[in-house]
Amino acid sequence: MAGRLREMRCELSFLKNADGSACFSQGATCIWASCSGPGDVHASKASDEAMTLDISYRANCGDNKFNVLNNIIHSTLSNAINLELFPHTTISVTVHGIQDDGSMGAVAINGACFALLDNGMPFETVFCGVLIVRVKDELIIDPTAKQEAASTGRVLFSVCKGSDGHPEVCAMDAIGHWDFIQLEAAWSLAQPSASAIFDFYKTVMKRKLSVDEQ
Amino acid sequence: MSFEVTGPPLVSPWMMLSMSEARNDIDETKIVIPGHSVCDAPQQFMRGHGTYVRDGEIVSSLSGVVQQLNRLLMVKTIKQRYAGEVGDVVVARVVEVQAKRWKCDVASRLHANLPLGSVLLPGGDFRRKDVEDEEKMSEFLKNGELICAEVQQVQHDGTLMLHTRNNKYGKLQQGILIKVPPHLIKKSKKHFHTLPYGMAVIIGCNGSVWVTPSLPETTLEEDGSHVHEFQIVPPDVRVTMVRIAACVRLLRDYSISIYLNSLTTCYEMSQPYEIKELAEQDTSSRLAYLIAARLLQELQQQK
Repeated sequence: MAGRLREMRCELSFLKNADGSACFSQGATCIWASCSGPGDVHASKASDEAMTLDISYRANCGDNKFNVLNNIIHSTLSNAINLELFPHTTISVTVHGIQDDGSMGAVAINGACFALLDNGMPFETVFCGVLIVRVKDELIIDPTAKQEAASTGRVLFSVCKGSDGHPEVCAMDAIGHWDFIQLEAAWSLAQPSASAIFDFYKTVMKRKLSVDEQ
Repeated sequence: MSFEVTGPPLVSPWMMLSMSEARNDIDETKIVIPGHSVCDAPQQFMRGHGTYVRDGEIVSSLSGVVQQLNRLLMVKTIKQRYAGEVGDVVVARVVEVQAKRWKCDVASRLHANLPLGSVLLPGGDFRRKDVEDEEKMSEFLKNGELICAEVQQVQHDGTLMLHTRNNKYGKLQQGILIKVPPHLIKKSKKHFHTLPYGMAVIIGCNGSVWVTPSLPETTLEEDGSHVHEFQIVPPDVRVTMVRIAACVRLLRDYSISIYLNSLTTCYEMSQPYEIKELAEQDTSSRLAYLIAARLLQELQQQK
């Protein structure tokens, strides 16, 4: 098992016109995330019971009409935000892939969380993404593009902080054949990484607040 | 595994000042992110803004600093969407004309409502609005037009009700609009300021700053309606307008509170520079540092 996250970098309030934004990179994989809202929405899209989520992941090239990551980010945000607090409103989260060197799904989820933290809207718990691939029966965490291409299976965990402070899975996307034992091993590898990412969130927010509190 | 944390693209000038560089006055244990426990003994406290109860403990729902007021625990966040309060002066943009009301964008969670009965219409000050007025609504305020209004009421769902039943409120023309984050606007008794340079500034609580040559003079017609008289703005006045707008942008980019004193200080200290230089990072960072230092000095003198 190879369990080591690549270097993480984050810059908050990166885009001027968004309510919350972040430039986040993990290794050489980099994304720009923006989050605008909660804002008013047209009556045709508005819901009387809850806030509507408008999620858009855009790769750095190719067709941007639909991406499987939209569903994962959507279900993660639905779990993290109490949507019933803001009826008749919408929140728009856009994630742009700038450079892809593997683990793009995990980086996109982390970037979306940073944008949401920068936005300042209330949500129940922080969340993060951890990608694990299987290369020749070895599990590799936060793989590069080269490792991802050589993999026989990959699993993306969308992790949120549980009530006891320990990581919990709130969404998952698996490609390839995974048996129960392998998934258990992958999850046990993902947990400490998720905790490290949560600590990184707090480090970044401490730095941001120390600047902004003035 | 290594972490690198970088600040916003333009770091706040407060960080440059030696006296506040370390920022040791913020207790790190009081900084929380969503999902973090706010206190160890939840039975002794009541939960306030930015918190919720989960499994018997008080948990933060915002990223910010924990504040305690007697037995009330709340989380204060810095950056948030504008939440209106009664009496706030706002600069809003009309987005929709509906039956007996205008929908206005005030950068809040929901669009604000400006009822037909809460505006001064041509043809009399305070009179009942009839069907004829309702038909002419789109002539009076069109989509995309800017207005200055006051928050009259905040409804239970957070919708703001505006009114312009005063001569100082109404349609805005011939000026420059600068949008800034609402948390940078310092609340004060007056939000309409006439500057000594023949300029007027409306600092909206919703983060919209309106710079205009001077607050338009109103003349009273025979039927009792107020008509704004607008003249061609001379080039030298336009230059002053652009300089003030550049000063507002500079204060915004360097996270300095925007109020009359900071604006006049910035304007006076920017005089040696050309307007285009205020957008350059070298000049703007130097100027922002000096402005921050002077404002801090004035603040200490007041104390």
